[in-house]
Amino acid sequence: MAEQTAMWTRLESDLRRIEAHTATLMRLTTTRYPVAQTPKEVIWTLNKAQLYHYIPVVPPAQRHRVPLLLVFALMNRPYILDLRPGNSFVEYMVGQGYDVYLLDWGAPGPDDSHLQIDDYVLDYLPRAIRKLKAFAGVETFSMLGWCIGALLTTCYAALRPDDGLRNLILLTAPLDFSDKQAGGFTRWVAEEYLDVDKILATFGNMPGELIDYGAKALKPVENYITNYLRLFDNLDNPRIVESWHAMNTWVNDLIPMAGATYRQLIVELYRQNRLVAGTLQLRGEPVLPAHIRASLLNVIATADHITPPCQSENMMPAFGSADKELWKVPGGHIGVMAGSGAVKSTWPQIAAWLAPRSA
Amino acid sequence: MTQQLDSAAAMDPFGIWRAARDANLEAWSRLMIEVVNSDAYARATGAMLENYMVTSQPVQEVLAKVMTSALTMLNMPSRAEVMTLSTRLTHIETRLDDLDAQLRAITDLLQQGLAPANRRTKAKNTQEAV
Repeated sequence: MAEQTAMWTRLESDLRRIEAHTATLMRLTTTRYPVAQTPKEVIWTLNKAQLYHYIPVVPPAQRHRVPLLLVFALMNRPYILDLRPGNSFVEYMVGQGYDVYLLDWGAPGPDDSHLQIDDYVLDYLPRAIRKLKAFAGVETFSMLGWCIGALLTTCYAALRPDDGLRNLILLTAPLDFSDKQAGGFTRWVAEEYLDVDKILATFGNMPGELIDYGAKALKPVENYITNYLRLFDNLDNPRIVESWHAMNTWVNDLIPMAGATYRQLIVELYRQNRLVAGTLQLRGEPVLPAHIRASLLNVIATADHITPPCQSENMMPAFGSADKELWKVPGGHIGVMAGSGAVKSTWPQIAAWLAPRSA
Repeated sequence: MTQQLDSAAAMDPFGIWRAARDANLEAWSRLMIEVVNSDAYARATGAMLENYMVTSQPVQEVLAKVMTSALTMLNMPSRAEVMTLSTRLTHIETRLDDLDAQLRAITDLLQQGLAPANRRTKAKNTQEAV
């Protein structure tokens, strides 16, 4: 009798658990996590781009004098840098006394399919920087670029070395495509497999869904199976559930890439490796990494499957900076900055590198 | 008690499945990464995308033409017209951004020029007061 009662009690509790898990799964798959909560103000806009200034929390006397501009990739939302309270690089750096700005490129529409890397590097970025300098009342600034954002900031630093850029931090920067066997992307975008012009004639811009498929297909089991199994195994753990929800919100918030930029990225960089060859030109100006003078920190994620380490590491001798460092951080392309361990490893290291160079 | 727990674990089909899953998942992942990094996979996905574009592009073109005609008949702007308008707005925004920067530069220059004059007036007033 007692055994039967225990069995019924257990069954009832199991049913309650299943009900709670179903409700959690429904919430996670049908709602957005309230991301990007660090207080900010928009100080500049152009077309779809916006420049945010994060409200300082440290008294002026204790703040670093050189402001920090964050530049993320073109094909994902930049709020990965401000994902959620307690797991936000922006919140961390603001707390460390940095005057933080973030350039949000926005989602290109059909009217932006003509936008090239030239436009982002020589039009949008300088204008945003001009506004930042005027707003902050400074002549020098630091810049952190992540993924394609690192490519854009590298081009900018090489083309405008006298524009006040004091420190340049590159995160998982895809710059050197010499190794044609490195990573799936390099292989997939080879001329014999991918007709870039036909894609852009069909879609105008490169659809976010296709880019997302490409990124996920590089590690199919992790992205399509393990990711969900990990959630399923931890549905009772609110910390993991909330973290998963925030990341899932970001992963599924897809934006396209401007068609002309995608063409340049694939043809001139992935296929022709023009930055390394010294033949990359933006609006007729040669982009030479040897011209970079800012102090440079190149951060590489050792388990990066999107930007294999060799695509960043091999560039070190090419940078002209007298003060340059290379860091290899354990982790993947996104995890290195947005993973649960970033707050204890990557962020403090970046803040510590930047602090003496921001006085 | 221990026996009861063991029998419960043995009867838990999810537990058995989970153990088998964890044992095989890593090997499966490595295999799949090798597969997607192969030329054969690149060729296959390229061909699939090509097929999709070959079939969808003519349909899209027809749809775009029909839609443009329908919007014209309804006296509504077409996609191309909205895009032209958007481009013009961006140009205006760019000009405004330049004007804003120029205005700020002029204001700064004026303030720099006025600063010594203000200092002279202040000094003169102080002298007179003395």
